[in-house]
Amino acid sequence: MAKKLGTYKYLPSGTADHLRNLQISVTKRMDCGLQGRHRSSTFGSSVEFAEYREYMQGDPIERIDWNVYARTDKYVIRRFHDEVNIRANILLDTSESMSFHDLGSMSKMDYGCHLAAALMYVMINQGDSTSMITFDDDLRDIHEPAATLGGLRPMLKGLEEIVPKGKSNLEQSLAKATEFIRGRSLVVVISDLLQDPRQTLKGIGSLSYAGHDVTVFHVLDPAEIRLPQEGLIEVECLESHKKMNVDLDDFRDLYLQRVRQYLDDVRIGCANEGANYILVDTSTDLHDALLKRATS
Amino acid sequence: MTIGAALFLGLLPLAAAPVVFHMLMRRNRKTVLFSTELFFDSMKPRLSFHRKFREPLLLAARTLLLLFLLLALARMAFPGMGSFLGLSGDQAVVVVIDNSSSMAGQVAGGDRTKLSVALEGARVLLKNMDERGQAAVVLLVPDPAAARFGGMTTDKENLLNFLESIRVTEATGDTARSLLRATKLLKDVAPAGGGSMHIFTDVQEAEWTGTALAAGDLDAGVSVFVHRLPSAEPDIPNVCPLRAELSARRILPNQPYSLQLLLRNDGARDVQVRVNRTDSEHPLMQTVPVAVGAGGQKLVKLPVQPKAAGRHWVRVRIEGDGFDGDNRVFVPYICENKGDIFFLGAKGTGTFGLLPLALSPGGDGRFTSLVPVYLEPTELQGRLQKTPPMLVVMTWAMASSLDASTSALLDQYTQQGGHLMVLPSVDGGKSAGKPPAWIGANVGPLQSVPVSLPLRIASARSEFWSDLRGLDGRVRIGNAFASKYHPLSFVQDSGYEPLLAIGENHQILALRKHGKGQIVVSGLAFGRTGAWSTLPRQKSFLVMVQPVALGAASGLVNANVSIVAGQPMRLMPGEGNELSITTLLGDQVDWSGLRDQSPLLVRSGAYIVAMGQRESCLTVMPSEREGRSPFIEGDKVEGLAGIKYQISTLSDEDDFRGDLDKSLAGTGLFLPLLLLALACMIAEGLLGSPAKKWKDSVAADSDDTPWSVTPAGPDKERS
Repeated sequence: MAKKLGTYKYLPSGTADHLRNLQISVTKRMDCGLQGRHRSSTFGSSVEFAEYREYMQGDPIERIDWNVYARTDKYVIRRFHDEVNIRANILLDTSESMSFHDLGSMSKMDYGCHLAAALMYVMINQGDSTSMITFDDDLRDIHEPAATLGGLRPMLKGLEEIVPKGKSNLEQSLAKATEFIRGRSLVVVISDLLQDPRQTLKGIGSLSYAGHDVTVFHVLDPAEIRLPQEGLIEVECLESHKKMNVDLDDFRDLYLQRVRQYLDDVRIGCANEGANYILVDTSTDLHDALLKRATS
Repeated sequence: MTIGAALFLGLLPLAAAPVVFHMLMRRNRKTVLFSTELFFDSMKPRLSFHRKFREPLLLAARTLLLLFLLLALARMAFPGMGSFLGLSGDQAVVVVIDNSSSMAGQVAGGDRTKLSVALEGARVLLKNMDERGQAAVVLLVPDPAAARFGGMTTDKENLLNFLESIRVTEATGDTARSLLRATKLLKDVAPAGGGSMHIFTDVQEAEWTGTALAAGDLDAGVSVFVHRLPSAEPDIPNVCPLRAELSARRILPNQPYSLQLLLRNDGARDVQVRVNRTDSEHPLMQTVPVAVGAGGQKLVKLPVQPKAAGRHWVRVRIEGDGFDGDNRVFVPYICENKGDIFFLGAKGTGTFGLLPLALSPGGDGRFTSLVPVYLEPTELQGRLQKTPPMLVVMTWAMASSLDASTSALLDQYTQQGGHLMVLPSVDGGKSAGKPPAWIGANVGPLQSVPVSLPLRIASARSEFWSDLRGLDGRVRIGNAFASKYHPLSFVQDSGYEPLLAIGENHQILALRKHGKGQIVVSGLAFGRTGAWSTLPRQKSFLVMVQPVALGAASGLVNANVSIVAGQPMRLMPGEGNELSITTLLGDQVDWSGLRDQSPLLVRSGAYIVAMGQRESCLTVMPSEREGRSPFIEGDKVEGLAGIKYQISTLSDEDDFRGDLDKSLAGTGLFLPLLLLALACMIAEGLLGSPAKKWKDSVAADSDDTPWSVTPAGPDKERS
């Protein structure tokens, strides 16, 4: 299968081989028209028993449990959980802050693209469908869902064409994505979430309340977490291009303290919203990052 | 300063090392692109504060630390106030000494006079001057008795000798003139300004309330120091003589006169003083106790009766009051020889009655120094030219019958200072015509009254009555009545002053000035029998007639001039521009020269001043303001309000010498500089140490939320 993919920047063949046995499941019940391996919120024809229910007029006669009738002289029918495949929606942040690269092996954008490509590949590889949406302060590129490797190719090509720009607005973008994504699906948000945590959590909350199984990959460069620079520097913000003088010797501790506070706020906020929160820095191995999601 | 100290002084530029290192090691600011400003926004204000203040403070602390340390090791010392006081280098110093009368008082807290302490202070000041420095001494009261001294000099010995000759005066100082002279001396030496002026004074209001020195008078850079001599508060009020006057009449031997001394009590309570008197003929002192009420005045009459002709003086000294500087009075007077009185007419009581006897009881001048001489009018011309008499007496009848030449002669005589009396004849001689017009008066018809009428004093204030006027101002002539009299009539504007009158309308005795002499006219004859009047029988008549001969109109004869010490002699009577001063008593000033250049008389004294042919008596009184005027206690001297000055109290010259030595020696700065270096080191330590406490406080300020979880690593994320 890997050979069929050819050579893509964000999904090299070695990576694809490494991900082949990885499975991603959801905890919430999905609804989808196709039979699959994931439990649905509806009753269906799987082998997994769900409940007994008294026979009602119109129920198929073949579903009556005759053994129970024989013992209790009552007509009851047996119901089974439905099993469906899932659709994964990858929401990739392409704002300018994602272009930051310092201590990590690559920029946050590159890492996010790698992560998105790998996720999409894993989903298709396990028989589910996937789509990809890029956003900054609005939804930008929206790729149709694909369930085959052939359908994956345009999205991989699309990843290679991404140029990070613009300011991010997670609240607005994720709200629009909520309106756009129909039914219940797996939504994976890949972003650095560098804005007011309250706005970020509002966006995530809107997805979660719509019934999606939300996973947030919080991608940061190690430099953003540890602040390795020293002395007096002039900091220029990538998105706003605002400049300020900072003596890092004196205020590193305060910075780290504020970063910790921010990460705590996001992590706890995501948990409250029912979303999976996974913090990764760009030096983290990609497989390890996906493994965190697979084992969650 | 030692050689080692000089070495450290040479190392002073090292203090700039922190600045150099700062410039070399200065971190260049680099620009870093960062993904977000989210974590920096809240830090910004603190960053600015930190950057702005901490590093400059740290740099300053390090630089000052080195600077203070090097200065301390260099054994630096504060140079003292030598140059500021004008006592070092070739600066100019003018010492102004207050030698006014009040400086004779005791200094507070000591038993010495203020002047002696001031002189000692000035001596200390001059002795501490640099050899090259120029100095001068200016007196608040220019004293001719002090050694003559020119302008600025470097000869300190000469200046010190000059200080020795300074004595207290009895005058009030002229601060404006003295300080202007001081500024001029400074300006002459240093035209560009600079120098210092040291004023030693008791800062008495009488001298320092008016503007003594205006801002424009003083050059820039001239420092003014006022060394105040504190004054001891006297226990007893001061009594000062305001006026001392002898009779204005011609003074003849054996005539009784009185010296009128007016005293004033400057205090708030009564005081009894002793007035001691001696004169040139009675060296034995006579003492009169005098009580002067609080704030009041008292007139004291001291009898004076010279025995011989010549120059005389009376010395009065007041004892028992609180201030001794104004207690001496010396009064000079000139006693003339015996004088003749020409009676125009026959000798006998029928014409002039008792008048010749009253004027000369002995008839030979033994008692009054007046000798009566009877002449015919024809003899008058020759006698007048030979020996001018004190007085010419004639009857109205004689006056009416004078020929023109005799009349003109008498007119000339009186114009030049002679005295004339015209009266009715006792035996009632009739007038042939009118008296000469220059007499300016005439008699009316004889009035005879059956019941005698009392004589009334018409003008009690007249100098004529001064010997009969009591201390209460009333003139007493006894019970005098008139039965016959001629009422007097006066030519309009003749200037007669009525002396005696009968009733309201009839003037019977009058006096007027005529040129330099006087004319007395009488409507009353002074007969022995009392047919005219009982006045000649009164004892007072003897006293009353003396002014007729000796002069009674003010300023006619004796030009006794009185001035206050320190005042210039401007109004001395006499002609010409040549003036000579002869000292009778008191401050010795014997001088002769041009009137405009006459010396200032600054102490009490009795002098004879000659101008042309005229000799006058000059009494120099002590200044009455010196014992009365209070002293300025505060630091603000009104007279110096326009300029900057420093005022300090000088009560003891030893303390002054000590303070001066200290200020000249300077103050070692080793310990203060070392302490400053230590302080800088502590400051540097506080500012330069890794500011954990600082940061903690900043963090605590920035966020109140406690940390509960430590995330950051992906491997911790799942926990």
